[in-house]
Amino acid sequence: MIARLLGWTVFTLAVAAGIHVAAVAYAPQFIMWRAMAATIGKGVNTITHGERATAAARRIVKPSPDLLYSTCVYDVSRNPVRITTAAPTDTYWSVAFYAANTDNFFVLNDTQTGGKPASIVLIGKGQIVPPQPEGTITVSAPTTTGIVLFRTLVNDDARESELDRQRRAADCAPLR
Amino acid sequence: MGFVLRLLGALVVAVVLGLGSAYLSVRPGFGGEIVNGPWSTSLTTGGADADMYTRASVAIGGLLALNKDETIYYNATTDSAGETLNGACTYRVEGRDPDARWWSITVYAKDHFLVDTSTRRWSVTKNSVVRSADGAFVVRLSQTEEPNNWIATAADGFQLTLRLYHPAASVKDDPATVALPAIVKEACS
Repeated sequence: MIARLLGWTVFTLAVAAGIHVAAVAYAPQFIMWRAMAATIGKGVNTITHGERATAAARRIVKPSPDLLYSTCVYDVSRNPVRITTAAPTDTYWSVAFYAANTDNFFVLNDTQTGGKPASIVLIGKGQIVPPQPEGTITVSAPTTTGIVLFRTLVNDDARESELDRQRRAADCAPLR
Repeated sequence: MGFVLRLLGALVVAVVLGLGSAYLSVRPGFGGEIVNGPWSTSLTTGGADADMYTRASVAIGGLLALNKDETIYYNATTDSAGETLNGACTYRVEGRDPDARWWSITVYAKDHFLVDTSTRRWSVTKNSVVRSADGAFVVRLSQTEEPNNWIATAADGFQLTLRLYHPAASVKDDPATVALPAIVKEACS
């Protein structure tokens, strides 16, 4: 009787441990999948320029009210994707790449480019990039899909319109 | 029949235990194994070297966070005395500029989104903070609007996020002891 009870207890705890690990391990993928669905805009490999965050912004947790966000849900399953940054002046800006498991696998910011725009080609496994203009950065995507997030700091409210206009020079499109 | 019922019972208990323990083991935020006064952070936030608990924590409470070279995020749910931040109380956040290219202090509601306020006063930043002659600043957190150095709070509780963009090497080297603003309760209604 005791041995049987012990056996059921061990079985229950083992299954519980498996469910625990699976829930913690796969929660990021699930949350990222929902985030990609919420930010996909006009489709994959296209850029969407969001409004400055307010209390009504409820797609991604903890939005900064001091940044302008632009997003691109990438999909490199067919072709590489070219990401072109804008170069908003006299402020911080960056473009950050996130894998489907939430890892931030690449970042480029205004300091690194000397304030100039940059061209990045994001490639999937086994993809070969044809010759590109000098200065193009090639980045390998660890997962087929993910999110590219452009941040532009509004360092002065009076500059918001100007910075909003400048950041719209950024682009995200399949490389054909 | 008895075996099937016992098996179903065990599976139900296992699901409750597994999901319940997973929920309790993940603290939504930016990871929090490093504590500095009321602030907590993780240097693996956003990084590929984050463990599964940190990754889950960030996904729930700080999705799309940047890695430590770009930004360090400190989160606070208590004041410097260790008491939970209360929307019925007024607080002052006092200190000096953290050592970073740019910083901001933002108030979020308990659901991790910006507080629902018509004032649009969600943050104070390196550019907007008003400092005294010696460089120190005092930012007040309350539900009564003030002209400068003020952030609106939520009646049912709130949390703070301190963002340090391009943090100095000293911050990345020793995030647990670097000087950060204190959070001091003033009064409660």
